[in-house]
Amino acid sequence: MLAGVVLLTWSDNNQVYQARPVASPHRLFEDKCEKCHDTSFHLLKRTVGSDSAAFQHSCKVCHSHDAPDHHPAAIATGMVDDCTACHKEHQGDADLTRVTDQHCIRCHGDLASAGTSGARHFSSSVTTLADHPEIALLRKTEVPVSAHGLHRVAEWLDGQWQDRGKLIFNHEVHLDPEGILVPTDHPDYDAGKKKQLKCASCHQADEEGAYMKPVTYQQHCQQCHQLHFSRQLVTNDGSLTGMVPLPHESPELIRGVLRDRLMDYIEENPGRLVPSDDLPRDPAKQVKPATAEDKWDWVEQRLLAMEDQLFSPGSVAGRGDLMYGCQRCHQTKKQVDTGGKVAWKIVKPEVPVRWLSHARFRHDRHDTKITLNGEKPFSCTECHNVNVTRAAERSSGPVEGVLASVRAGDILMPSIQVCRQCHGGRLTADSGAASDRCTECHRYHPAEHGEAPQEAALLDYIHESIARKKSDQ
Amino acid sequence: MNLRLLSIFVALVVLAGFSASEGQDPVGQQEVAQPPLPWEIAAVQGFRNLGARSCSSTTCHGSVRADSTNDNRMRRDEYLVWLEEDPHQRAHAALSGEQTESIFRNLGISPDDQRYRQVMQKCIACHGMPVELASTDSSGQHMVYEGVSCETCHGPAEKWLKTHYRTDFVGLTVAEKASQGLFNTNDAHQRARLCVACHVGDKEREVNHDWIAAGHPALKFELTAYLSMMPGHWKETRDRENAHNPAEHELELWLAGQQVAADASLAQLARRASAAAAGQDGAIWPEFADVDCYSCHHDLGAPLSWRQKRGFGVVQQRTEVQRITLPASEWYLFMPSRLAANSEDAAAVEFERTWQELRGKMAAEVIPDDREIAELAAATRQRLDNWLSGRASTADRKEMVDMIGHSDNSELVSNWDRAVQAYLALQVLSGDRGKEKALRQIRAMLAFPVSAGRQFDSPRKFRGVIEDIPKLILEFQEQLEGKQEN
Repeated sequence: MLAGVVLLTWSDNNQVYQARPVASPHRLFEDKCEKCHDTSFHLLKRTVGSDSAAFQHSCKVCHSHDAPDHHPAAIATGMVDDCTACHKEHQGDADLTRVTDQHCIRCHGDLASAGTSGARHFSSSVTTLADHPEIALLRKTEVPVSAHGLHRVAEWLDGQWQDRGKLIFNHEVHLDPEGILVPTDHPDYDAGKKKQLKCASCHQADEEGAYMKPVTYQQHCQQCHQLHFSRQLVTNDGSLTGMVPLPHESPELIRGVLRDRLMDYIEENPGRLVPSDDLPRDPAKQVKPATAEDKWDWVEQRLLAMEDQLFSPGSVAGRGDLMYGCQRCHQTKKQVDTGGKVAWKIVKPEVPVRWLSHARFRHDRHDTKITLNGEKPFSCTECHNVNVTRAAERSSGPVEGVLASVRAGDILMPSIQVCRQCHGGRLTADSGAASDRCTECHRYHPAEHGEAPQEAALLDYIHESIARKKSDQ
Repeated sequence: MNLRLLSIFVALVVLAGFSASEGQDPVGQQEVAQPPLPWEIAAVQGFRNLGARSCSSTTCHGSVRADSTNDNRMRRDEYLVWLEEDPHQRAHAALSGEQTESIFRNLGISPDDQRYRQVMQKCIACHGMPVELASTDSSGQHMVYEGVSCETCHGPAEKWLKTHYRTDFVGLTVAEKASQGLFNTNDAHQRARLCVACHVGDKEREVNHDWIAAGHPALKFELTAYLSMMPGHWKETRDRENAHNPAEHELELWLAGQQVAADASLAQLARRASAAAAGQDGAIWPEFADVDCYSCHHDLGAPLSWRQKRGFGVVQQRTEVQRITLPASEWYLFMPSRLAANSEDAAAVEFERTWQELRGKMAAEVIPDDREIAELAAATRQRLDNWLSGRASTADRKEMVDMIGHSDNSELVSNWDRAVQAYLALQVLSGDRGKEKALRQIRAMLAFPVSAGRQFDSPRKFRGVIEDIPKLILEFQEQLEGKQEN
């Protein structure tokens, strides 16, 4: 046997030293032990188990940028001295970020005595999913709390977390179980019958199936909500120039498009410059003389009025809460420069692409083929069912969750209680239980630093390897 | 009890409540129970207005294009018609306009005056519909006002917004829908009540001569004329027996408008007279808004104006000097009176007799006896109702032609109010021939002129012009008859 080991060592096959292969991201240099381990391999020490034999500086060749901010609270305690304290290599093709719960619980099980500084926002003791606090976005607290600065998708308004997105949207109307009306020029228009929308009509998974792709105007809204803008521009054949939709573009571009269309219109319909000879029936009603002096003047007057209608919130014009045009979905801002010129801005929608950036999730692993308690398959609203309850006037009775949400500010993320229905302890003797390991959801690399290793270091390595191979040949 | 029975019960309770409260009207007359008007539903039932934006979804009522299919009951562009073209939309914005500023200045009320808010509340009774909005901060609700908006006429939507397009709701009866707050604007009489509440006035709403003098337009309402000037946002083919015959429908609307407006103006007169008789604070008697405008406002130049030549009062005597009295405005009563005079119906005769008695009393003294006028106005009102509620709800074409008269039309045009009412009735009769040359000529004679520098709020000339109208009316009627015979 000894001869065998000697033979393997001599033959430059390193497998003999490895408990299991390295994780796949590191497979590139699996046979280059010195990339991680220093030259004094401490074979003997390793054998007796007193030296981890991997060194912080080796990891940092590629991962150095992470080091200063990498879970600083844990590093500050001194209980974590280097990367390998949590990330164990040679475990086969395992996810290196899947640290064991013990690593987390060492501190999170009792933060008070773990000596971490700073506010403890959630709970000073989390040992299992069962005592994990509610997801921050859904927690009702007296005062706004920062959720590690990571929940940028929400803002603290009106005593609760609300979606930061500046769009105006009503889930209840769109998801009416009886269906909703579609315009007569909609491809699905069918003799006034209603069309039933489902969650998946707008929320579609990415190619991987993990997350939902962003909802876009072009794909999801346009067919019903075309950007028609006015009934005012009636052409000679009775059609409406306002029926040609505007592009879904910035107010600056819209101004140009409107000006073009108005100019074309008045060129073709110069009669609109003089007052109509269609007099009101009541002789006491006067017909106001036209105010525009020429075509340009007419175009500019109409342009301002149309912009006002498209962008100006009703309350500004003293008209109550009327809305039309862009303000139907967007918040708008008026800017007046020193010369009195008006420019409109659309407030950036900031619709979150990804919720709960502190955790990870795969929709495809929770899809509708999986049954809950062996009874019924998952539906979207099975999980997205919290935070809103309204006694809506449905013939089927009150609705809740997404179906009752009337404003975009509602946070429609599932409660952690929903997760606990499957993850963690067994529900019944014969039911399974999904994993409740910390790493099932959490990774501690701060998202803003990215998780990819430094490209430069990796490229250096690859170039070096290629050069070596060439010289070997 | 099932839901349907319950809703009927609720509707009946509400109706009972209203007829009881109407009974306390100073006119002292028991009112016929009428369905509550939209704002009364909002006040009594506590149903909330949700605001026009709740109607404005693209696929519901907020489309730019009218639905040209016959698949749907609605047009889909209702909101946009209203938003862009309907003057009702701007009713509240008008209160922050130049004309309102000028009215308040003329009334001597500055914005810091404590009366300003009180008076503004009176304006808002017609000009603004309150909508409670959830605020974005922690202050809870805040109130905004829309102009005369969707729910001002259709009723507060809190209970029916989410259901009114559903199959089960569409199948409900008018009373069942009403119990949830949806007002029946399809009924000509109810529609007229709705318009008249603001355009003529009621207990809560009044434009008196002080306001007119300060710059508020005088209220001279005629339902069919006003409907023709309002951009319609409904399909005429809906829910109406005579819907496929627009001319018949117009005749129905005309009679309903005349009846309801005459009733409201008599109620107004009775209220003003009763308030004066009871010595109420701030009661004005006689109130000039009840009087024919052009009995005072007229040409004073030489030669004498038609008004001066005609003399004053009801009995027209061409004597040089007359006592000045204040003839009652005939705007709202001339057509019903003319119709009654042509009728053999005993109730019509009774109404006409009482109305003429009221006119006589109004014109007999500079300051007519308020108690007597209150009683007579109430009696006239009662008799108008006795007569019109007992007859067909649609005016008969021949009856209207006879009423306008074939030969001696000088009575028709002895004042501007009469001439305009006759002209508007001709418009109703003309149907789609409203652009006839003769009608356009009549309109031009009666019109308030416009010139670049000045907007007139009265006919500029009285002399000579009105006298030419009978000839034109005759001409037009002959054309109409010729057309019918062919």
